[in-house]
Amino acid sequence: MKIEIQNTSKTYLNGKKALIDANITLEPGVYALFGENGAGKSTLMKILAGLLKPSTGKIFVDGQEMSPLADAYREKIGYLPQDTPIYSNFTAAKFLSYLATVKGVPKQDVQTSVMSALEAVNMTEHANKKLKSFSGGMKRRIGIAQLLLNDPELLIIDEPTAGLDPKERIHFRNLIASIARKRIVLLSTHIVSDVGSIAREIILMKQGRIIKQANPYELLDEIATEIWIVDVTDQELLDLQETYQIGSIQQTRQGKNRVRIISSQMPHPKAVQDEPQLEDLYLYHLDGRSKSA
Amino acid sequence: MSRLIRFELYKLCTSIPAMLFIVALLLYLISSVFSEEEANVRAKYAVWEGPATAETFKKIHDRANKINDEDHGLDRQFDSGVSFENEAFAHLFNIEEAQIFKAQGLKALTNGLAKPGFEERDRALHTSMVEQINLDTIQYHIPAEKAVTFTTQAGVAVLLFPLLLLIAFIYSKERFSGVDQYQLPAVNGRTKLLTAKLVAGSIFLTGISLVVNLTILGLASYRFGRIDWSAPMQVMDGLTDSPYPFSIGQYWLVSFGYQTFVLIVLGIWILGISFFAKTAIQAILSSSILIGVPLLYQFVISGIFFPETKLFEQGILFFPSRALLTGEVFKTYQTINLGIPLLLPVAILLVQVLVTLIVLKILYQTSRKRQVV
Repeated sequence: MKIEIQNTSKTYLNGKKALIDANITLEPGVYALFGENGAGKSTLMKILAGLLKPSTGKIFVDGQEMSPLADAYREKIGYLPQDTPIYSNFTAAKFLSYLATVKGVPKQDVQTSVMSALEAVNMTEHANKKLKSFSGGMKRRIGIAQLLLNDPELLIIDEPTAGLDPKERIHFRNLIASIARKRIVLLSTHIVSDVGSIAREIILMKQGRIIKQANPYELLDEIATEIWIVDVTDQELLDLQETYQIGSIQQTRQGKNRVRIISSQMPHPKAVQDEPQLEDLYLYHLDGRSKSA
Repeated sequence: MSRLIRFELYKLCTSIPAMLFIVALLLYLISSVFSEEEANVRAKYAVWEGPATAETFKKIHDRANKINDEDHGLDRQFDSGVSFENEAFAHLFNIEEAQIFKAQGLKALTNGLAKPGFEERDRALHTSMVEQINLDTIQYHIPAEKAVTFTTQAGVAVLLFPLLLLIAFIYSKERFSGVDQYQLPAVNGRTKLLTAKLVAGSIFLTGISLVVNLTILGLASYRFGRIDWSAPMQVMDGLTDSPYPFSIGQYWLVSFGYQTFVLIVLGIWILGISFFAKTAIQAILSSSILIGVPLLYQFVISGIFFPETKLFEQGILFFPSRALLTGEVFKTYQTINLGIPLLLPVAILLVQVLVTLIVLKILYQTSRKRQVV
């Protein structure tokens, strides 16, 4: 499956331009959407999920122009919204059976697809418990399970790891990596470490525009000379914070502050270059103070 | 589709607090129907069973005057025997009143020549309906009357609450809770799901209507034993001037079908409101206005806030919540001039069907294009 989004924009009735002239091509693999709140990630995903109609632009599926509202398109997708809406008086299995039916899974396959989806998110033992008794993380796992019910070719996932504990996040990452071999997975997250290692491409969005789209390694190479670390005193730290973009601060055993700095020039005489991480990439491109020095 | 309908029914039926409230309301209202003193009233009534002649009614009046005369009335007003007899008389006088209405009506209908065309056809229809009413016999009809009166008056409240507590609440909740974000991207999540909701809602409301009617029927049979449904509906309080030649039993069946149809219509309208409402409160409030305002006219503020014109009185019956009170719809002869006379109950249904078709068209069009911002 190949999806091409061409010159797609979305302007809301209040005049807000949520998405501006987006052009992306998606093929099997994981695509991670990074951007601040309001960057247009959810709008782009809702357009692809058929929940929003673009103001302009076209979407092509395997070379054929298609409306996201068309049945043929909707058969191919799975969507997980940012929250995890549920019917609280349904059991997990009943809820998934319902969604499988809504997604058009044939009657004879519903039971199997529900059980395998529950198994994929380690929720089999909770199949017959009411959703109202579930924690936020458990509900999120049910949300992820519903994605898999109709074996979609395009999975659109908005903030998938919100509410999941670290163990569940690792499990989710492995799950996504395994299902993305033959499918397109488009997901947005603030937690870059969750998906950076499995992403085929990273799409960076800012103020409704796609500002970068490339393989993670290519993007990291672009900032390879701009990441520095240095151990400094508290006073020096204050000075650095005023001038440079700070990535992270850690306490050393010697009582100093190990500071990670994003800068095109050496920020401190003792600073040494370090290997860029995805968090650095996020800050470099998306933080308001980027490239100030 | 059948699986989708089953799921939608499951949603409606598993709201335990709402269902318990509806059952409790039904039982509470029904409890008012079954007087402990029914056997005593029956005994007083039974004395007069037989041909409903002028002579019989004269005797009934004489007896009524005697037990309620000025000399003894005050002393005897707490005499239970007298009150049972008076209650029996009230029902018996309805038969006499219906006879008078029938006779006067037929006399007016045959008086002078009607204008050719609509008036002639209207008069012919009215005459033929009234002529078929048979009021020649006094037969004990109080249990049948009480049961039918319940389903066409107090019982309507039991029919209306599920609309507000279940249909308005559950279907509006899908939008504000965000569950529609799973549904809308799915292949069956738009028009098919809407159809399933409409069918499930209709089945559910039919079930509620059936339960209300069967409950009162069961309890009435249990309480009163074998019930005679064959008396003409004109013997019922408030229906003495009705032109419809139905027995009480036939009227019940007609009323059940009519109410169920109107209830489904109202359910579709409320589903439409819920479809567009942004919150459950908004859906319930808007639905309450649709249901409540026409009922206010009936029960609370008719002469204060509403004009007391015949056109308004007829017009308000076109609202489903008023049409559910079938006694109001069937109580007098009213027709709409379409060249041929169209009886008011039929006209109400036709208008409601028309409005419902418009509602459905809007719902399906919106469902196909719906967006989630």
